[in-house]
Amino acid sequence: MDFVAKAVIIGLTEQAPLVLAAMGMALIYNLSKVINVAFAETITLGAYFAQWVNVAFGASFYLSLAVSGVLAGVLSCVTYLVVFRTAERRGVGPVEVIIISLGLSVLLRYALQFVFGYEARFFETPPPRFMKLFGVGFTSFQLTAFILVVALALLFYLFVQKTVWGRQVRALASDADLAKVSGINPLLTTLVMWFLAGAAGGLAGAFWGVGSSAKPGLGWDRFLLTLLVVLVGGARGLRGVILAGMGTGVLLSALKLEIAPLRAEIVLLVAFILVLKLRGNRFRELAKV
Amino acid sequence: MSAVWDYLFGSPAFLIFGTYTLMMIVGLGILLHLQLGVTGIGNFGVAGFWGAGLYAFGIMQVTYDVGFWLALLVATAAGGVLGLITGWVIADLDDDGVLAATLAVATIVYLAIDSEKDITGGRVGLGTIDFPFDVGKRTDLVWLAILFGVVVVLLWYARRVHRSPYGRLLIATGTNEPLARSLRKPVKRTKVGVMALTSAGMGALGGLYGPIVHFLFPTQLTVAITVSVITALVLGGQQRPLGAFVGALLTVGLFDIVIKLYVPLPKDLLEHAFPVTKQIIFGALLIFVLLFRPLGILGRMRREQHVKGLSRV
Repeated sequence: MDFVAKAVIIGLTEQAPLVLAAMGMALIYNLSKVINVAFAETITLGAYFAQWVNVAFGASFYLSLAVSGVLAGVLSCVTYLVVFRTAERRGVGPVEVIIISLGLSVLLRYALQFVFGYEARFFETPPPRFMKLFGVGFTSFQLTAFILVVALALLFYLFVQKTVWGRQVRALASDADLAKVSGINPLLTTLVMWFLAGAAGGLAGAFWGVGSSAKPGLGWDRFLLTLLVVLVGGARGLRGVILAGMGTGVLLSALKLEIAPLRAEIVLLVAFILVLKLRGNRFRELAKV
Repeated sequence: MSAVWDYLFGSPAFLIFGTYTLMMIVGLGILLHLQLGVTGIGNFGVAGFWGAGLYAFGIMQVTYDVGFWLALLVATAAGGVLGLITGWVIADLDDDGVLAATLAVATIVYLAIDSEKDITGGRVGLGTIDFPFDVGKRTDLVWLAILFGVVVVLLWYARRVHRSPYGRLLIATGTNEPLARSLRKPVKRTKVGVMALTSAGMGALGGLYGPIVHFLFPTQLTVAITVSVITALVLGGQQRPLGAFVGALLTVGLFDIVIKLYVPLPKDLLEHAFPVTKQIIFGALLIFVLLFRPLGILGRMRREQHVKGLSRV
């Protein structure tokens, strides 16, 4: 019981941003059928934007979080308009789109170093309080972050499932031609979705960044896990992504409690690969928002 | 004349190391051409297969004190087995699954090297690995000639594949997999086979790189290698065996040899801004080439030769 409680608490508090990031990537994947490698840089830039607002303007972390979400969302829309829409119009193949997004990812990751500098950048936040639950220590900040992530994930979920915009996004994802005939503006709807996805990624980056620092590899280091959560959980829609994200966090912390952290990550990746193999191409057909 | 010679070959060690890197990228690019350009397998974990060979070679040489040829064989086998497993995993996955699986394999290799310190040395490093022979001052030049020979053999093999029945099977799998399957072509077996074979080649190239660097670190296995190889291949032309060579000359050759050695840049710029700018240009090249000239500089596969090959069967 003690072990399970520890695994759940550590997993949820440490990996909560993974759920947000995976939701953002899943939105793009399900609507545009694009695995956007550059989403890693949306996460990274989210951390940089939040750190910049926090330090340069002396804003509280929560205000910088909001600004970071908006800026990351705008950046996501710009990448869609400049790169992915052009690729779509020119009929670029799926593997080539992935390579293009890899190129965009590399470009952004290194270009941001000219803007923000080569060194890691740290947030200026008041020192957190330390708490304990079931013998597991965590900071007040981790708890707040977890609550915020849960609230934001719920908001995203409700937006996609219950609002008119969300219904339009889902309609466009299911059948683009039928959606257009129904009077849905595909460009506007797609932009809304890319904005939401970018905002989710940016917020995840800000949460990860404040826990450590804003650095160029922040998003890339977490990209693979985010992608695997999307591919495995996406088969059951956004609910599946949320559950897969939380499950991954708990499983990883449980493994880390038993074996060395690096070995735990290896075991987790092998498990994901096996799940992908067992499900084959079926997950693609099952993947619906 | 002497001044020109000094200017061109004044720093032979740097020139040779830059050419090693160029040869390595060309070799990996030719193998990636067979995977991506011919069979349609988007391998985003090139660094992992290459790194598996590099470290297998290093472990055999340093930890187990094994001779060169056996160590090279183990390096090739390491890449091959990893390719075989990866091929089995990705055989029935779509492009997204292939991306995730190949990236995951490369990450597992990196994490395993980082975590198993007793065998790999972890972040402290593994060494020293020496050349298998000593011909005096210019041993490194002889090694470069050997590496060049290996790349030429790979290029010859890739060209042969294009003209062979096996090559047509690969092209059919890469061009239209459902159609190839409906024609009762062994698509899955083909993908597994090509992944195993080409990854074995990547492992062998990794093994051959060991004596060049002498000391191995996990940081040598970064995604930058994969990006360099993909950029070279895409720029040169992913459907052509020579594509990686042309692309590598224009990317790695230009940056790691011409600019680094012959353009007098300030030290500070060389250390920070130069590698960053290089990656920015690589990223931009990938985007622009695939958007506006998707078949790269050399263009489409040479169908006419392929058709001649058909008539020989």
